[in-house]
Amino acid sequence: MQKIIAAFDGFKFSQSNLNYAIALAAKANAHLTNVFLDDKTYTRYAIYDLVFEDGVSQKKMSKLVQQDARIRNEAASKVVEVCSQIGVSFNIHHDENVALDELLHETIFADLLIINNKESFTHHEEKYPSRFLQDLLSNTQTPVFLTPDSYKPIEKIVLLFDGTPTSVYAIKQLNYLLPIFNYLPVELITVNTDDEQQTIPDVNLLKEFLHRHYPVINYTILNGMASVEIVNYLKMETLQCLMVLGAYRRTMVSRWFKSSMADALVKAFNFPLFIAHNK
Amino acid sequence: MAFDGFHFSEGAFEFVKNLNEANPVLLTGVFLPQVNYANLWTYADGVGSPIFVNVLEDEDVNTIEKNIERFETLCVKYHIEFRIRKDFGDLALPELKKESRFADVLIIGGEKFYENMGSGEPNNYLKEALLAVECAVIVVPEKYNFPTLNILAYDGSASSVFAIKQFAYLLPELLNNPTLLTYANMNENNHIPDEAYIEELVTRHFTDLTVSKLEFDSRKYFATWVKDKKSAIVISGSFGRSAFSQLLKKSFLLEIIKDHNTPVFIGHK
Repeated sequence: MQKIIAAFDGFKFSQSNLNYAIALAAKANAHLTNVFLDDKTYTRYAIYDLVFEDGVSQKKMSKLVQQDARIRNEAASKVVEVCSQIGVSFNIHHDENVALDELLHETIFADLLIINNKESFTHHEEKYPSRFLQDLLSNTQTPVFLTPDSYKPIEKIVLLFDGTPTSVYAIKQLNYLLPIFNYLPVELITVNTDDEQQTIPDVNLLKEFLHRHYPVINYTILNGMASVEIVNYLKMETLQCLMVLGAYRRTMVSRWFKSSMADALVKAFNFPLFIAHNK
Repeated sequence: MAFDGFHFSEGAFEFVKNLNEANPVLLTGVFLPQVNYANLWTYADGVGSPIFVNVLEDEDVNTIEKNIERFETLCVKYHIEFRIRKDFGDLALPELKKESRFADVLIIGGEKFYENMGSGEPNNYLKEALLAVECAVIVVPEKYNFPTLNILAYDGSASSVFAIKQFAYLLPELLNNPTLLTYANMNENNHIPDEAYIEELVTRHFTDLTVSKLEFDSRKYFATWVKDKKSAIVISGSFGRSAFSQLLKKSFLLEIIKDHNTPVFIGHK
């Protein structure tokens, strides 16, 4: 049995994230740890709400703190209720220190992290990917399953392969962690920047490896710019896909997962992403 | 499974044979060439001094062919699906690195892998291989019992936890064996770091778990302690890239490999 962690912001609770987390945990017979990042420095009130002519109002502060706690507890109660109803093995963590540090620490001791792709742990709007998400994806110690805003069961696996070690690593990790998807249709997409080239890097080794894990797999070779061609190609897709890609180390960003690529995928589709990096 | 061409590791093959009985595998026999100094990796912080190896003689070529033949015969005998890779040219480690990228586990016979290279044990070439590869590695001695006890060498680092996770994914047939989670740290600090977290993870994977804090300096005595355990496998984090200091830090691991008594699983990204 694996340990999946699902991360939540109690103030902006993502129902879709919970739905994906429960669906995966139930299907994989995994234990689900719901991590509420109750970062003390992240509040719904602003400091100036507390300041009056005669200083800081302790009474007002206590009221606002209680309000925040109530909202966060309501979100956690909802998770307890749904998990109990569905019958998955679960527990709740309330992590009160800085959200990013707490979550990165949790990833060391988890098999998979599930988090909504809009998560930012700020109250102001941030362009995707948020700073929080970038830092998380750069430093996570476990693969990340990024969920979209609405839940739809996964019907197909799309492996994005650019020949780099990290893209192979992501495919391996998917296979170890979610073999429940091995029976789904699987397509591997590679993009050659050369207009006419029709090759897949290390094709023989790749096929020998993949066929052990995915008996039926289609190979698609596109030509052009990856972020454009992949999006155009997938616009014709009718099934709900899980996109699998290697990523994302600040010092060695994969060719695929430049923010333009991730941005394009997240903006164009309601697909979840499975992201792993090997360094 | 990597061979250096000259030396056939019966121990490593035996390990695969046991795995195959529980869960059929595809075994790729990688018969690496002999190497010369120019073809070694040039890590600035390299772990070894220059090594010179004799060029291949006709007799040596025959030895390699015989080893490949033995590999084929054993695979057929034990119904193991197999592939053979040979004729790599001179660049042994880059080839091994690429093969490992597309593999789940690399198995190396710890005593036989380039045993003619380097005076220390484990030899420098084996150490370089352990640094280079891109999948989990199992280093197997020639004489041992197939594991019935898992020893998780947890030192609080992310790499040691990563190794434990990879072991659970890759060798599920061993997860029901008795398992010792040992806190194998170098210093005398007397608590297990993140004890609640590691237990929460490990109890999900291992059904028969005991947590034990080693009450001795593990840097000095861990290998000896392991040696006393019958039919064990040690699970440890990788050496990492900051080569020399890491090698020192993981000296207990090298000691275990050197003892040729216990298989070692090394998690590697």
